[in-house]
Amino acid sequence: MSQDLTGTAIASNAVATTRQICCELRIAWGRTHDTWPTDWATQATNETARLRDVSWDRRFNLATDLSLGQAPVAQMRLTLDNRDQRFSPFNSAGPLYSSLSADATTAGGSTVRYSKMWQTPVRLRMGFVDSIAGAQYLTMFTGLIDQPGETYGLGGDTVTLNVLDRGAALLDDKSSTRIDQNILPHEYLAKLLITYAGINTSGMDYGLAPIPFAWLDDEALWKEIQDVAGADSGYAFFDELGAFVFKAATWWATAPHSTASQATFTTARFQNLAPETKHADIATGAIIEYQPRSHGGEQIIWRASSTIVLPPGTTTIQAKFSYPVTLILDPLQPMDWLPISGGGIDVSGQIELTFENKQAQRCDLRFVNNSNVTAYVPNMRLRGLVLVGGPQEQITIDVDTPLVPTKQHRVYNNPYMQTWQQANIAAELAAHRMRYPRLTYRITGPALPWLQLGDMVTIDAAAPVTADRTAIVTGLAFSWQPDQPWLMTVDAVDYAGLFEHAGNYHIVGTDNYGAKVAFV
Amino acid sequence: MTNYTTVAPWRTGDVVSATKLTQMTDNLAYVTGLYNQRHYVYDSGADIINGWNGSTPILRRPTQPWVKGKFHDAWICHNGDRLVVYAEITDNGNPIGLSYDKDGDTNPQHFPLVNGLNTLQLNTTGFYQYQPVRIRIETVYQTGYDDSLWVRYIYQTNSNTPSWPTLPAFTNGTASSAADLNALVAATDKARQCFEQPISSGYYFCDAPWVEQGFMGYVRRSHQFFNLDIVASGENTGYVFLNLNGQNAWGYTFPPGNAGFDGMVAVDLTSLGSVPAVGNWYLVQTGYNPQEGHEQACVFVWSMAEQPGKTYANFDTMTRWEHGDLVDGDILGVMVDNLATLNTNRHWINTACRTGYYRVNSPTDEPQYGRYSAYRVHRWLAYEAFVDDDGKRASPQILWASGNRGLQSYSLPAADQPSFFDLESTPVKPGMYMRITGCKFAIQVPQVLGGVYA
Repeated sequence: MSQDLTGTAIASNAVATTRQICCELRIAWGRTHDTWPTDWATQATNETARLRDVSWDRRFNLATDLSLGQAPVAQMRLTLDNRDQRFSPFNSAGPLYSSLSADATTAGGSTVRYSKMWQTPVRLRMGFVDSIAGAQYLTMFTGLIDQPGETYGLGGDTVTLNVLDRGAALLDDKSSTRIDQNILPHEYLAKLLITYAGINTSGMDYGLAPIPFAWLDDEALWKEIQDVAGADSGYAFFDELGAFVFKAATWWATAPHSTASQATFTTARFQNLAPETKHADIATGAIIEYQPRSHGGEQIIWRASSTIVLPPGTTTIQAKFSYPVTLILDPLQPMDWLPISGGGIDVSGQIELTFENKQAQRCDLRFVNNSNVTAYVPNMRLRGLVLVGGPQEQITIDVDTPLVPTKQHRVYNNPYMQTWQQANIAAELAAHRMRYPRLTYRITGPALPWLQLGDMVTIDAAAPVTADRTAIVTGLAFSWQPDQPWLMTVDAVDYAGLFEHAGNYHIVGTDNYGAKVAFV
Repeated sequence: MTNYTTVAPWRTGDVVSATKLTQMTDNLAYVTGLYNQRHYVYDSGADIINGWNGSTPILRRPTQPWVKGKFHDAWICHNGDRLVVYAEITDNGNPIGLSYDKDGDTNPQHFPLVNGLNTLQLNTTGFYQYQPVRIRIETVYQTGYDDSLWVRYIYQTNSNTPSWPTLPAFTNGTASSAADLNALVAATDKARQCFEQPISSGYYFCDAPWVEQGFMGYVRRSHQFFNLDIVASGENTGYVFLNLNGQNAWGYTFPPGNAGFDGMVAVDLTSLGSVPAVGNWYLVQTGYNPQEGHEQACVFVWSMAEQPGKTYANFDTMTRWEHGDLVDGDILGVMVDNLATLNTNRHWINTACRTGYYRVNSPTDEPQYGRYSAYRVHRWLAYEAFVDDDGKRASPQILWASGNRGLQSYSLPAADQPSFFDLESTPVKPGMYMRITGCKFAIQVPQVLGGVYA
């Protein structure tokens, strides 16, 4: 994706003999993820002068098959000068006091002062001072404070802020939904993000295979988002600007920034270069499990565990279904429910029942007892049209010419992997991606701030193993202290062998029929 | 069994995915198979009133299948917005009406019927796809008039039969386009919508003494062959026959010694003197002509249905795609050719399933209900247990055979309302023969859909 450098001299200043670093740290005190700033210049405070140390990193999980879809939340660590206790939430004389903490009153009348720094938006921009244009920035990190820490004493009064990217807001967000059918991954991701996190999305890749049935039942959103992307053999993450990114399985095979080098590392451009061959990750094939689902007809979806007691007035209970449900059928009397008095008299004429908060695996039953006596509903049940899971299926793909004794990689437990198509794409990718001993690189040196995950870089060093190689960036780590060099560590995976027919895939609308080959 | 999956739309700039092309090929193969499925004969006729149980008429099937009556009950799994009924009505001043009734619906739709072909526009609001619906055709006045009704067939079709996209040529050397590939996807899906219909079971005869009863039904000409799977034994010189489109297509005279017939009769419809035109419904008659003094016969009609020949010669073999395959326009062109063949034969026919009642004056009062036979295709069986005149509910069963005449049984729940049963939970695999007994109807559906509630 390589950040846009149009109109800047960042690329040349980044490799200049003398680099003058510029930095801007803004924190939107008093705001949260739910009140995300739309204008950082006016809605956030410039705290750059207080910055003592900063480092951040973002990366994909490099284990085994490059763990399709697994992109841990990126982190940034800030150390700020706090000698005047500006960032101390309990410093009532501090200028940020009302933004850093607040009062609450307990039921018993006690006052509790609490820190409210959690999920405060943070943005870091860095760049270089150009001799003509002045300071030119790129956004390096946008996220939310996860964990603040204060230190006082001989070491100096500082506050450290551990900041996570915007995925942090979704880590523990448990949501439930109805069932979406035959929905494309990017459509479902967009729906989850706007509905449950208020995050708009645009520019996402299209997925290759629709998900037949998708729903949530108290699931953590970020985990689900990773699984949705993984089911399409793609990746989902938040980028440096705080924008949500979904990249499909074709990403590194065809995207311009993944097929054309975005930076070249020569001996003059790095401090250390450490190639490593990961023999442990080599495999002769892949086993991908998937769980087909289909409509399962009418079933009893819920039975009350005990007699429902309905005093006069409104009573609401939650029904958790035995199956995912596409339609709750109207309960029939007396088979499904029969309100009676304690003496067994039918009082159904006095009881209203409505369904509220209907989700795939739960709903609220709201009873209104319009009489002045308590009613009872024994052995109540609900019927509905349900989804059922078929037997677990799997696809096994072995490479034609294995390089080691049989060793198959297995992917399982992704609830969104429901079809042969999804599994076949994952199996083809994983099997071929893991058939060769994987060559990876760790490069340390001066920061090239435009690099992003998925970018192709060229490594052209003197040693034979590192001469004229191309690789895909899978991890980026930066660190800086004022008046110190701005350093970077790049993790990259060698491009050779990632795709069997790299450079020869047929692009719709670009290539002719009869030319080039099909992707997985 | 369903093997159709939704294909993500193609866009300019997409990388051609072998998995996705294979998915498209598999979808087309599945739809081609649906086109090539059996078509069972509709159980034509009408029922007569044979007494009253209070104010409820006791319905009986007349001894002779050609006799007219006052009632015709059938069920359909809703899929379409038009009902087509061919009714033979004697104009005796007693009008005939049809009700389209979700079970328990307090306000079913009513339509008057005329003699001949009736095309009824349904109000589909409130129906979900494949919902079982009862169709009752009856005289408005049930007493005081002669029996005047005989129904040839009932089926549902759709006024909005999906339009067919223009299919591309896929000429090698020309630029690929998303529109080309999407046209394949769209055409396949439109063909699926037409051919993936509920499958109403056929009618089978049991081993009751079978005297001058026979069967009359209608089937829509779709394929080349009509297959009759029959086991018959009878008395000397008795004669079992199959007439198609008013012509004798097969016959068997019992030789001395009660030698029977056991086998599949395959009639090439194109060999008949008067070949029924594709798309036309034609009469199917089977029966036993006894000789005087030799009236008894035992006949099993296991199944009778139209089906294609074994070679499916109209369809070309399609290649599945693998990673690294050349994106060859000629291979894509095979899909175009096969889709064109499907389009030529495309129709939307969702045939109803007639409810059977006891046959009047049968020596054993042999029940006709639940005499359904079919080969399994879909996963779900829509049915409801039959209730006799005394209110006694039958015990529905599936009798299934695994390649020979021996039958084994599997009990279905005695559902007191239209229900769907998962055939995957039975030993009956797709392609296997089964009889369904004790039901008001037996219709296979590919999915059970209720829609996602709002």
